[in-house]
This record gives sequence, structure tokens and C-alpha cells, in this order.
Amino acid sequence: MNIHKARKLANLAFRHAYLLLIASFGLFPFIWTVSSSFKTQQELYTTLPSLLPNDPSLINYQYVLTGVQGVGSAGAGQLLILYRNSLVVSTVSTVSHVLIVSLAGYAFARLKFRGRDALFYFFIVLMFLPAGGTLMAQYELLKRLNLLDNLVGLMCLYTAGGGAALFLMRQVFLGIPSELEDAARVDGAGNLRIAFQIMFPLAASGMVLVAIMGFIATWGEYLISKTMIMSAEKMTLPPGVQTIIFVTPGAGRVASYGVRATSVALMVLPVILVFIFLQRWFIRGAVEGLKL
Amino acid sequence: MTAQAQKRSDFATFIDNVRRIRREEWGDVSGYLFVAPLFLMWLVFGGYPYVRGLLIAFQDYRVFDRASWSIFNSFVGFRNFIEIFSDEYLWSGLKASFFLYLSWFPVSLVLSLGTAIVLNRVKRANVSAVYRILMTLPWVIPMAASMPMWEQIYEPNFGYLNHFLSNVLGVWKQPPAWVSDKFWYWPAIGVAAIWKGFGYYMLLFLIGLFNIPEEHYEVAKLDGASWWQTLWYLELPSIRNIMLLFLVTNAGFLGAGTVEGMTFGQGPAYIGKTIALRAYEVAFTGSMRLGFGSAMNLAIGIANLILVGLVLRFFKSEKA
Repeated sequence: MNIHKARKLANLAFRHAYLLLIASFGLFPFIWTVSSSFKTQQELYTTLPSLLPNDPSLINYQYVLTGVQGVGSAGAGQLLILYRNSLVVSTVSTVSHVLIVSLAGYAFARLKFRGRDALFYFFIVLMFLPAGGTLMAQYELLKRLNLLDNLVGLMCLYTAGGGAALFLMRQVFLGIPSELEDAARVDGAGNLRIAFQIMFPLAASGMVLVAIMGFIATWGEYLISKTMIMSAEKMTLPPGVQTIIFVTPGAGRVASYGVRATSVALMVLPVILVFIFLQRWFIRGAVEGLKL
Repeated sequence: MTAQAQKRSDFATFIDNVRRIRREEWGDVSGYLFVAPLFLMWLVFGGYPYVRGLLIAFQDYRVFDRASWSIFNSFVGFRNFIEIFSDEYLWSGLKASFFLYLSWFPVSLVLSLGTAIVLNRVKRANVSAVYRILMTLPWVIPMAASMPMWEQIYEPNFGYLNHFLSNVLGVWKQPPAWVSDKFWYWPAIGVAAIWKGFGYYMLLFLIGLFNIPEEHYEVAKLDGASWWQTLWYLELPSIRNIMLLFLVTNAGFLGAGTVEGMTFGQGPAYIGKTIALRAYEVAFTGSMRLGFGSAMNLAIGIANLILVGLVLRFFKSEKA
């Protein structure tokens, strides 16, 4: 009996030791980055590295956000420009993406029109086609439309995708009971009104999930943004964060670990907040959308 | 009834008939309007570029040479595809893609599966949620942010890893310069990739394990099944499909590594230049040969499809 209990306890201890180890592996790069962002140039480059800053300082934050007097200005304040661009692009493309995917998802789930299912499966099959020269042709297309090096072009490309989101939204709408919809139809409400006033509020958790996924994806999207945007004042964060350089009067332009760490920490902050605070929605939406 | 009224009602019946036939033939046509925004956006920014990308692959399209933009001036047939075989980075690129895959895939599979199984046995919901959130957090971090994070840890003189190995643990007095070392580049990028991705796969496995009905566990317990037997005969078979998903979605490893290489760095002498990154560079750097890059990407896509097909086939024969 006691042996049994001891074994159970050892099992429990082992289990949590393992999970703590893995969780700290997941957490460590964040700790190191945030810690580096509060270290001064001196501490970063001269003393033995310590896990926490010995003499916490906000100098890196001051540098990337406003610039520091006498340290040169290239790159200083650049982060705010990148931040603004990323915020505009991610918000606009996420909202429009959620809207058009929800409209289509509602139609594919609830309205009966000719060729509906064929069209839907067409969109799903598209997901499995190899990309091939799409990126190259998108470059050419934006160039022709005069949207190269333009945030609008980027938003269009981000809004256009989304086979997985469409599948999920259709699934969510299929799961909503049809009584309310039928009642509204008897009362003479049109499809558009039914969609916006009845179905969308009921499908909110699915829409929030699509929005979270879309926001996280666009906020971190690197390749398309790197390809389509050239000028520094139009860049978004992921490619732009590489361009933030520390400028010292003596040594000229040097990449500073402190500045890099600070930019990265500020860049990941929104996605972490979104992910943690919307965790509840995340799970609920995933459960509804994945119920097959 | 006057003639005029008769005429109007004829007209009304006619319209009604048209409406009825339209409804029978085409259904609720407002459905098309609901789908239109998505369809049009896709058509312009997804569908058209897809088809045009196929054509570009048969052109010697160079961004800086205006005359080469039209397919009528620069059609070269399969020459771009043939040129792939003489590209200086073809073999090293294929090798890099394979090494990148090896550096993270096996460990990630074992780690995510193992962690999901252990985490599934944590009965307290909020404790398990905290673990889950901590482990899935790296998954939402943009690649462009996570790779610099790891670069700073690997930094040979001021990063934490070497300090930890040589001073804190004292087990390795002269640790390598990770990212710029010919051998250690691969474990270094591998760990970063594992860190980024394993939480997502763990989540998938965890969802699969959640779906095992509680009664099955009870029956196993009543039958006196050991921990190992429960794992082998109950848990692993139940997540077979998720394992298949994991293998299939990652089988096309030739297309991976573009963003990794661009944000983590390509190591000494470009050993980390994967074939996908090479295709990107051909198209968007230097003389910007969109045609050649497109052909290369297309070839990679086809090779990937073959790899996926092989994995699916292997699984099918396993089952039979």
C-alpha cells in the first residue's frame, strides 16, 4: 500500500519535472530576449552574461522608440514606423479577410445555389496545389498595378488567401441550428440581414478564431512583405526588424544585441497578448470548427 | 376583367414563372453575391498569379529587361528547367534542405508526441492549461522574431548557451561558435525550429488524445493494462491519423527553409542555403530572373508532391 503510494508520487514528480523542463525550454528564449533588452551596452559586451540584468536600464527602449541624443539617428524611431505599418496592414487585412470568408462560409453552408459544392471543393483543393511561381507572378502583378512597394498591395495579397479559414467558417455555420434562421425568413428578412443580424453573432467564436489566426499570420508574415516592400518607411516589422541598426559615434553602424533584442521583444508583444488573452476563444472556436 | 388587367396578370405570371424556373435551375442566386468578394479577391491575387506563374516558368523573364516581360519575346520552352541541373547551388541546396529536415523532424515528432502523452495524464485542467500555453507560445511567434532570439542565445562570446555550458555547468570548456560552425550550424537551427514548431504538433496530438473516450481507459485499467500497454494498444492507435497528418504535411521538405535561411543566416560558406531559398534568391536578388526562379519553384513543388505521395503510399501499405 505504501509502496504503491510512493510509486504514484514518484510518477507524479517525474511527470511534472519533465513538463517543467519542456515548458522552460519553451520560455527561455523569451526570458533571455527580455533580459537582454534591459541590459546596457556595457553589460552586454563586457561582463559574463547573467540571466537577469545587473543594472536594468531603459536605454535600448529609448533608442528604438525615440532615439538617443549624440548616438546618431539612423534607425532610431524606425521601430515606430514599422509598428504603425504592421498594425495597419494586419488590422485591415484581418478584418476584410474575416468578413469575406464569413460571407462565403455562410453561403456555402446555408444557401442553396447551383455549383455551390463544386465551387467549395475547388477552393479546398487549391490549398494542396504547390505554389510554383505564384510569388513571382504576384510580384509582376503588383508591379503592373503600381502596387509594388505599397501597403495596399500587401493588404490585397494577405486578404486573398484562406482555404483553411473558409473550411472552418463553413463548418461553424453548419453547426448552427436552423430554427432562428427559418423564423427570420418567415418574418421576411433577406439573406444579407439574416447573415449579419442572426448568423454572424452566433458564429462569433469561429470568426474570432479566424481573426486571431489571421492576425498572427499577417503580423509575422515575412516572405511576401520582404519581396513586395522596398522602402524603409513602408516596411512591416518582420523584414524591417533586421534593418534596425545601432549607430555609435565612434564605431559607426553596428548591430547591437540590445537594440535587436528590444525590437524583437516589442514585435512579439502583441501576438503574445492576443494569444494569451483570447485563449478561451481560441479553444472554443477550434472545438466548434473542428467538429466534423 | 378588363383586357389591360388581364395583360398585367399574364405578365405577372410570366415573371413568376421566370423566377420559379430560375430558382429551380440556379437556386438562391444571392449565394453568388455572398461568395463574390472572396472569389474575386482570389481570382485577381491568387488564381491569376498561379496561372501566370506557370507561364513565367517557360519564359526568360528578367525584371530589369523590359523586353523579356512578354511571353512572346522570351519564350524558352523547358530551358529554365534544364538549367536547374547546372545551377551551382543545386546539390548543396538539396543537401541543405535534407539536413534542415533531419535537424528538426525526428526530434520534434518524438518530443511533441511524448509531451502530449505526459500532458494528457495531468488531470488538473488549469495546471495542464498553463503548461499547454507555455509550450504553444513559441508557435505564434513570427519566424523573423524567433530566429534572432536564438541567434542571441548562440552568440559565441556573449550569448547564454556557451556561458551556461562552460561556466555554469562546466561540462564543455570550449563550446563551438554554433551558427558559424560547419557542423554545429545544423543542430543550432534544428533546436530553433523544434522550439518554434513542437508546441503546435503537441497540441494536435493532445486533441487526438482528448478524443479517446474515458471508458476505454477504464476498461484498460480493469484489464490490468500497464502504462506501456495503454500507450501501445490504446493511445498510439487512436492518434494514428494525426501522426499521418504530421508526416504528410512535412513530407514536402524541399519547399521549406526559405524564411529560416533568411532570418537565421545561412551558416559558413552558404551551407544553409536550401533549394527553396536558392529559388527565391534567383528570382528576387541580383538580376532578378523571375522565369528561372519560377521554374525552380515549380520543380520543387512537383518533387514535394511526389514525396507526399510516397509517404501516403507507405502508410496505405502499412495498413493493409
